[in-house]
Amino acid sequence: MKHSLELPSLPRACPELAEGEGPGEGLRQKKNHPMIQSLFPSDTPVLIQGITGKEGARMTAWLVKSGVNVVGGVTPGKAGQTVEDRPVFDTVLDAKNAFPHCTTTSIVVPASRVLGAVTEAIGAGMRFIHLLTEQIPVHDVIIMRKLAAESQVTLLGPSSIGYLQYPKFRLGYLGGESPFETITEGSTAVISTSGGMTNELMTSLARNGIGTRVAMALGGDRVIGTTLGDAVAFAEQLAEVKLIVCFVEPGRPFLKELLSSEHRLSKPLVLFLAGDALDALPRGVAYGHTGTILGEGDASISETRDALRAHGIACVGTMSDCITEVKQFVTRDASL
Amino acid sequence: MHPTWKAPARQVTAFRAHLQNAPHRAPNFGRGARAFYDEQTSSASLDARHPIWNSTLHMKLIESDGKRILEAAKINIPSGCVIDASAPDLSMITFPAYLKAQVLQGRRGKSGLVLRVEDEAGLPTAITSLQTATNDIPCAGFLLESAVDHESEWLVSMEIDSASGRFRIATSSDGGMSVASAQTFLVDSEDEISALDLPENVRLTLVKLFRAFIQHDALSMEINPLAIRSDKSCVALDAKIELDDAAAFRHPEWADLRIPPERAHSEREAAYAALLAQAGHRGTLGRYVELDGDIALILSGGGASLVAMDALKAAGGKAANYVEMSGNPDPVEVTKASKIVLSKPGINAIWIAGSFANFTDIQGTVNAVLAAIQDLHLHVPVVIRRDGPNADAAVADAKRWSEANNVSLRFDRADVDLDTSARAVVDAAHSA
Repeated sequence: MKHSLELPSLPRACPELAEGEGPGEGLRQKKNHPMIQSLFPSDTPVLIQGITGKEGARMTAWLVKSGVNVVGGVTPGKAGQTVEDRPVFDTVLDAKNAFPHCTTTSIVVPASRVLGAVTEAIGAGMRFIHLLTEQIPVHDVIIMRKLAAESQVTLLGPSSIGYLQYPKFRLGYLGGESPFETITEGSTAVISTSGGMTNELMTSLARNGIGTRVAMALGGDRVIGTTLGDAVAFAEQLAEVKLIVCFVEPGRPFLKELLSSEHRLSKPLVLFLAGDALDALPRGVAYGHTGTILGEGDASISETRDALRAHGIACVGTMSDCITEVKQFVTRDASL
Repeated sequence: MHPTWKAPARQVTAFRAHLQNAPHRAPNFGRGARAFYDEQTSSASLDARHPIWNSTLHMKLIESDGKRILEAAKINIPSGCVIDASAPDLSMITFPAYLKAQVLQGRRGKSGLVLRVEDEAGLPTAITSLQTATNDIPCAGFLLESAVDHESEWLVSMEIDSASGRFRIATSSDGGMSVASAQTFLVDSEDEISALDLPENVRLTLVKLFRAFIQHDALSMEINPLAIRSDKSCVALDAKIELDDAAAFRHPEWADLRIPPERAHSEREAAYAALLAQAGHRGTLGRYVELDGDIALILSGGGASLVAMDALKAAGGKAANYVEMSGNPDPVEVTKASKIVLSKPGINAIWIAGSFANFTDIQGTVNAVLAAIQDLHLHVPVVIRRDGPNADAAVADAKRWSEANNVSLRFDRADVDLDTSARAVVDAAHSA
């Protein structure tokens, strides 16, 4: 419970946020989690925190195999060991001293140690933190989200299966063991709270001749660092991206944000909103991900989809419809 | 950290007699609940009427546990005592009082689960009525509380706002059974709460609530009604608290909480809850809900499980269940869970479906489900749509299994989408 003493003393994380306003309008607030501004160079140096663990070691092997420049890892007390011929350090700072240009880290440590690992990474000057670990206490996520925002560090996750892009670069497990063999390069951004569905979308698009430029699995927790809104905004400002495909589960605040937003997207967005089956299941409990909860008073999925369509967003409910919708955009715009 | 209720000063044997006569009122509270699960999970017949306590499916607290947290946070609560298997201490009680069933469902007042008791003589009758009313509901005993004179009722609540990662506070000066409208505020810190434009007594209560919220890793806390007395002091007449299960590792004291189970609608749901209640399943075995269709589903992936359910519905199929297992689950646990799910009578086909996995071992998980099918001697068609690590080996194993067991099996990979696979399993169920 050490964090309980820390939280109230933290300064305001996001000074640009509006004060808590009067009745009901909390959702309209723009969050703006700090985001990277461009794609990664393919030789970006990457650190793995928790590299000597089972997941850390496997992840390192897969990343190295797909050409990612993993420079080393961190496990307290294991300095001097190697994993995949990469050196292991006791602290992120030691690793940073050995590789001063490394500002990207993947965290694969047990849930109880993640807050410490994130704090250490931020303190040592990491600018992009990918967080694979699942089942992290939400109060810890709130604190790390604030810390990241204060230091203008991008936090992807928790429970994020990873990040992938062209020029070839990736973090985490996204795409499996050898993703660049099954997907193709293109100008679509694939964004999803679900890791499995990010992969499913990339491979389905590839089978239909549509390439991916960048893909992000954001994680399905209640509170996440990079939100759907943040990721969509990132994709919008990337010159390399022409079309955004997004998989969303019911209960995500992004859906309400889209509906209440007067901001028009500058790029076509195809929104795959699954969950019609939830209409037949008990409400008020989570399905699949902790963030997937429909309240008693929430609209049904088909009603939400209709409302989004009426708002001008291409919102679909099946993969076939998603592909059809994407193909229509591609037909209209030859550059895709 | 938790204050304990005052030890019984005088024994009221009449109450004991009442409790002993109460059906399903096994004193399986706190740590004793662990032994209770073991008994449940090892027993051959799992009875849905004896649900599993302290399940890992949720951390919603009963009122009396919630009030222990409020009291520790220096928020006033009415004087009261818990009436459970031990004899109550009435020395703290002044009448009239309220006898309140310690159940999770809301609107207890309207459902006859809170009774006003005018004097001590009326207590046994009230207990009997409440026992009847809670016959079929998981109930952690009754809470007897002195009535509190008050002038008005507020609602105050706090929860986590997913969109902003901040704390959302709601207040209403119109608390009680029907709250018309509430003011909401998004805050980051205690200082911001101290600056809210609210009556000082309510604001102070919120500050105390916030400290408890942080200290106890809460997801939500609600006091409704918060009684305002003539001297402006506040008393929490109810407490509705949900804690974050993911933080259990730093709260050993949670073992003493009495978490009522979600209501199991079948013996399979009860058995599945028992399986989850054992240690080590966090994050891999997800929710199981029994439905009334004829196609049994074993789904993988939080998002894909919804897509698969939708695809089955669109293909005209009826699911026998929802269940989701992801995050590279232990094959032994997958077999156990699958055996529970697939033991539902009237299954005409089995669909093992998921997204193109990033790191789940497909061979291990598919074989684990096939082992369950074999153990149950099921001879219904199996349709699989899975891809990811070790999928080639999974296909080879599944083919061999199908021939050896003479079970019709179709295995599709990621080049066949979930919609197509859903149509295949619906056809298979129809021809079965």
